[in-house]
Formats: sequence, C-alpha cells, structure tokens
Amino acid sequence: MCMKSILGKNIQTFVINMEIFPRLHLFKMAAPMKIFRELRRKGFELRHVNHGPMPITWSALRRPYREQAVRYARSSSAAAAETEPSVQTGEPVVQPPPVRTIFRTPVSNPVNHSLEQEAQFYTIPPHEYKAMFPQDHGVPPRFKKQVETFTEACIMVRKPSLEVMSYLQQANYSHPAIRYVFYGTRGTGKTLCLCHVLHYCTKQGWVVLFFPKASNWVKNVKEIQPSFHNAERYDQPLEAVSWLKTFKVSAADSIKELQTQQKYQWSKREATEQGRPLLEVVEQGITRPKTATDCVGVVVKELKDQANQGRIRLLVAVDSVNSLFGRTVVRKPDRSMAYGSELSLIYNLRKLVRNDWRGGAIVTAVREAAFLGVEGEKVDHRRYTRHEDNPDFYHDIEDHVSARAETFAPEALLGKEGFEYMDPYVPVLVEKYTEKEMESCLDYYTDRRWIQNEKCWTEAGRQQLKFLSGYQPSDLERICGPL
Amino acid sequence: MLEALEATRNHVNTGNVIFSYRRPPCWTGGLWDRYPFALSPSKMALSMVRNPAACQLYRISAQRRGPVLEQVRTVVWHETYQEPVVDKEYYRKPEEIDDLTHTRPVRSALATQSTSVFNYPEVTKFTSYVMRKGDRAVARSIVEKSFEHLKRHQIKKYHEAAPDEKPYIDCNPVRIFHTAIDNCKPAVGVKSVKRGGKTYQVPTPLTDNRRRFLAMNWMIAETRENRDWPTQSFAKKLSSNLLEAYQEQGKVIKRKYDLHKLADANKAYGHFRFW
Repeated sequence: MCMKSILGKNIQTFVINMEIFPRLHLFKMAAPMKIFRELRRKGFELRHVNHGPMPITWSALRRPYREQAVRYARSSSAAAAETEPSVQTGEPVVQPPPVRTIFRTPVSNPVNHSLEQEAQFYTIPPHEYKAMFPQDHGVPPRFKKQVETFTEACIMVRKPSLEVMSYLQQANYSHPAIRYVFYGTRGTGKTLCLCHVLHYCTKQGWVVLFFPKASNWVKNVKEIQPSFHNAERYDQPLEAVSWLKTFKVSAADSIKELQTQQKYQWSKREATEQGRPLLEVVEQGITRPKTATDCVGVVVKELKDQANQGRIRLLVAVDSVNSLFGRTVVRKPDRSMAYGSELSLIYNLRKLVRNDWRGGAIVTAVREAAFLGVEGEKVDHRRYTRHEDNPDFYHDIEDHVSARAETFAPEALLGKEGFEYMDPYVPVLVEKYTEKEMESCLDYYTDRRWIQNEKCWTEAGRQQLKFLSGYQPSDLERICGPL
Repeated sequence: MLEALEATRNHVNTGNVIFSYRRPPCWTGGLWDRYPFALSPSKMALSMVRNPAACQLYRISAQRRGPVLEQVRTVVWHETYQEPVVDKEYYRKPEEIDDLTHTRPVRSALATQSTSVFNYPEVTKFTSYVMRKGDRAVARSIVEKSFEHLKRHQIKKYHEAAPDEKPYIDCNPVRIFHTAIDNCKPAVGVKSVKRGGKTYQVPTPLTDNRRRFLAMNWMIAETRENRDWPTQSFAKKLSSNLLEAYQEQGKVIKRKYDLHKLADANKAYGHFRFW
C-alpha cells in the first residue's frame, strides 16, 4: 500500500510493507485507519491513498498458514505445526511405511489352521466368500463394508474359533450333537469367529445351515400370517424366502444329491413327491412365499434326518441364539405379544438346536443386543444409574460396568428357559484383542490403507489407538474410520 | 529492560513518523491480557504499560433508557483462575513449587482443545461450524462419518487401481479435507458500503480467518441445500462435496468463482474502499 501525505507543498510518500512494519501481520483490517488517524494527529493532511495496481492481500503479509492455525486452537504452536498435514496435489502422496508381513498367513484353508497361525489374518477366497455369504448376509455390517473397501475378505485366526475347530475335529459324531456357544462383550468378534468355523465346516464338505441374526426374526418382523396347518403359529413369509434364497446359493453343492424321504403336500394341487431332490423344496418355497416357512421346516427336518442316518455331516450355525427363547415384539391379532415358539421359523430353529440328533454340531453365539429381557421381569431402560458406594453420584450406564454385571454371559442372556433348553453346552469366551492380536490388526489396517494418519504409523500413535480402543476389535475399527 | 522490550513491541517506527498502536485483543491471550488489574505478578508490569482501553471488560453503550454498562466478553471464571495448559509433555515434567501458580485453581479446558495426536485445529473448527445447538458430539460424529465415507471411497479406488496409479491416489481424509477447503477459499471478497443511500459491493481483500470461514460455511451450506440427493445423510453428502472440491469441481468451487466474478465486476467501486 502506498500513501501520499501532503503537508504544504511537501509531498511525503510511505510504502507500508513488512520491512518498515515488522509486526504488520498483527493488524486487523481496521489497522490502516489507525495509521491514518495517527498521521492526522501528527499534523499530516491525507489527500490521496493510492492502493497501487493490485489491492494488497493481507494474507500475503501474514504469517504462513501453518503458524496461523494456532490462533483459534489455543494449542501450543509447535504441536499445531506438527499436526497440520502437508497438502500435496499432483504428486505421489505419502505412503505408509512397509509393515511386518507376519500379520498375514497364506494358509487360506481353515482346516489347516492351528496355533501357528494365531493372530494372523487369512484371506477367504472371493468365490468361497460369495458362496458362503451370498450378498454378505450374516457377516457383521461393518465387516461387510470392510470387505467392499479392502476388496478382500480377511478374518483373523483367533483362539476361540481354533478351540471350537479342534473340538469339532475330535468329536464323536455317533453321539448327540454338541452345542457350542460363543459369548463375550459387544464387538469382540463372536460373529466373525462363527464365520470362521462356518468356513472350516464348508471346506470339510459339511452341509451348513446358517441362521444369521436370529434376532431379526423376532425383533424386525415385517409381515406375519397365521400358519396353515397350525392356527397357534405364525409364519413369516418374507424372512423365510430370503433365507431360502441364501441357502440355495450357499448349500447348492452340498445338498444337490439329497432327496426327500416322504411326500409333502403344500396345497390341494401342489406337492413334492418322495424321492425328489431337496432343492425342489427350496425352489417351491422361493416361488410360493406362502409355503416358504413350511419349506424351511421341511429342509430342517430332512437334513436332520439325513444327518441322523449318517449320510451327511450337518453344521447348524445360529447367531444370537438367545432370541429363540423368551419374548418377541410380534403382536398377535388379539393384541397380546407372541412368544418365541409361536413363530414357525423360531419353532423350527428351536427343534434344530435341540440335541436329539447326531452326525453334526451346533455352533451358536449369544448377543447382548438381541436380548429382549426375561419374561415377567421389568427391563431397565435407564440411561444413568447411581453409583454403588455414593448414591449421590450418577453414572452413565454404559460406563458403569458393575451396573450391567456379566450380562453377556450365556446363562444370563439365554434366560432360565433357554438355559434349560440348551443345557449342556460348551461356552467359548471371545475376548478382546491380546497385545499380539492388536499389533497384528494395526499392521493389517496399515497395510490395507485403513490407517492413513501419519501419527498412527509412529509408536505414539499406535499406543494412542490401543488406549482409545481398549483392545476392543470393533472399537478399533471404528476409531480408525476417520483417521 | 521490560519497558524497553515493550516499547519495541508496541511502537513502530515507520521511517518518518513514530506512532504507537494498540495491540488488538488476541484470542490466544486469555483473561490476563484483557484485564488490567490482574493479580498476576509476572504479568503486572506488562498490563500496566499497555493501554488500559484495550483491556476493557465493559463498555458504555447508548440504549433507549440511557447509557448502560454492557459486557464486552463473557468470562464465567473468576479472575484468580488460571488458563489450562493443554500439553501432555508439560504434565510429564515435575511441578515447579517456587511458582505460586499451583495454588491457584485452573479453568476447564475448551471443548475444542485436545491433547490427542489426532487433533487437527482446522477439523475442530469445521466441526464447530457444523454444530447446531451446542451438540458437539453429534457434529463430531457427522464429520467423522463423512471422513470415513471419503476414505472408503478412496481406499476402494486405491485397491482397484493399476499399480502405477496407486501412489497418486490420496486416501488420507484429513489431507483431502485440507486441500478441499484450501481450494474453496476465495482470493478476494466484497463488502457492503453505503454511499448516497445506495449500497455498493466494494471489492476487498479478506483476512485468512474470513476466507476460511467462507470456504467452510459454503461447504456446509451447499451440503444442507443439496436437493439432488434429499434422502442421503448429511455425512454422505458432505463427503461427496469435499471430494468434488478436492478435485476443484462442484458447487462450492462455483460459489467461490461467483464471488470472484462479483468482485471483478465491481472493480469500479474500488474507490469506496476507505479501510
């Protein structure tokens, strides 16, 4: 900026720039006015202000961008300068450092997994993943997104799934089917352990009956209709059809040689004769949604029989098995709430988890989120609870561990009825990440570009991630989301 | 010695005239800089030298019922409370007992302050702009979700790209955010000036804060007003807007160019600029 001041005939010119005005960048916009006032007070008469060919931009005179960020953040300047990432365009961007490759195992067949591969990630081949989980049904929603993002499906080999797999290997299948129950706090990876076992059994040629999130059948019910052959029960055609569709894809190979053992009369005209392929029953349900729920019952019954006769090995995998027992959110026509066993799908599923058959195994998981409360007991919906020692002090119920003590234990979630129904079972605890698993997971995320922040590539950043997530697998994945 | 130092700080030699100027009240300064009768022994000397008018807490304003004392800035803390230090390293060091600071209570830190290594002042500022009714938790989750969308989009692109293209795909959402906001910052703005009953839009240079404010609020406004995608979440729309701005495209960039055009068209009013 150029200023001309006329005092008598003496014309004085100032050029205000950083040289004569070392602290110019501290001026706000009104600063030139201050300069004028000062000059006027000293007897200068200002006539003309020449702004020059271009208006000066104050930002050009100000301190560089990185230092400025301090002004509103109130943090120390050194820290702020460090946290500002470099802005680069049109050039190769900063890539994460190469990580140790021990986080990944090339063994993609879970049959060969052992403690050697513990805490390592194995890749499910894409075609097998698609066959096992058509349209990603059954995997946790965040994992589904992760598969899309990483363009690969990787699961960590963890001790709980290895444990169950070793039991499955050693079990005597002439005895009644053994039930395994994965349990643990939220987001520890129960469902993914179940998926791992599922993959194991699929690779061994078992017939897999996978019921993902049974809680959807009692909580998010879209449509019910009274059953044809039993007025006491209610069918869920939509859920049944979607399950049959996925079953058709996932079990197409393993059940293609199986045949029906009796005649099934669907309606006056429609029937499936004895000795027809079992896939015909599945097709029947898909094309005629009215009969879909009954078709699920028939498939369950047929497979159970075939396993009993030793023709097939059957794996029954049920996620959130605790929703099979106790109440539902379904309202019957008389306005009362339906009980779990009053829904045909749940009724059939309950028959499946009863160990009155042999030649297979039942692997299940219990979920806290699926818990609808015990019958006759009031559900505690309070968000806050009083502290045990100091009643004046309120706690957030999520933070206060003792307020929801051991609610993730299977006996608590199954309730009295469920526990008696499922007893005996093998509880398998799925815990948070260990140090080794945590390191492995962080390496995997860095390798897959999920961790982008330069800070996370340092030891301090890794420590902070461990601290923030508390070694909780799902929390770690979420926290890394915006980083 | 202190006075000499103060003189160099507060008095500027412009060559022909020497004049003093008031240091503008600085946001980083805190209470001690504004209040002249502070009880801080270390800052007493400084505050005595400084022009007390700059340190006012109250000013007299004319209202209908007559002049009233109006609060300039609300400070809920008592003057004896000291500023919090947001620095982990500071607390790792042993406390200096000879200083009397440890006897004074400390104000709580601002919600925008954090010792986290993942804290970015620019992002914090943006979160504050997104915030409605003081619900920072919601605002933060929205911004984080949009960053996640952004990252998922880029990572997917990265993994599907040919090996020679990979190093050029930026997956860092914070870096993309910074570039996008930088791209949206206008170089020049306009200011309304009333002359002869008419209002003129006079082109003017902008401060950095103003430029940042405009860029961020255009980004948010364009996302809120997005009618093409009404059912989509704010986070998702924001991520797509950020990505567009990152590539120097989209509505926000257009808005910047509109302002440039307006400033250019109103060049003739440049002489109304008195500041």
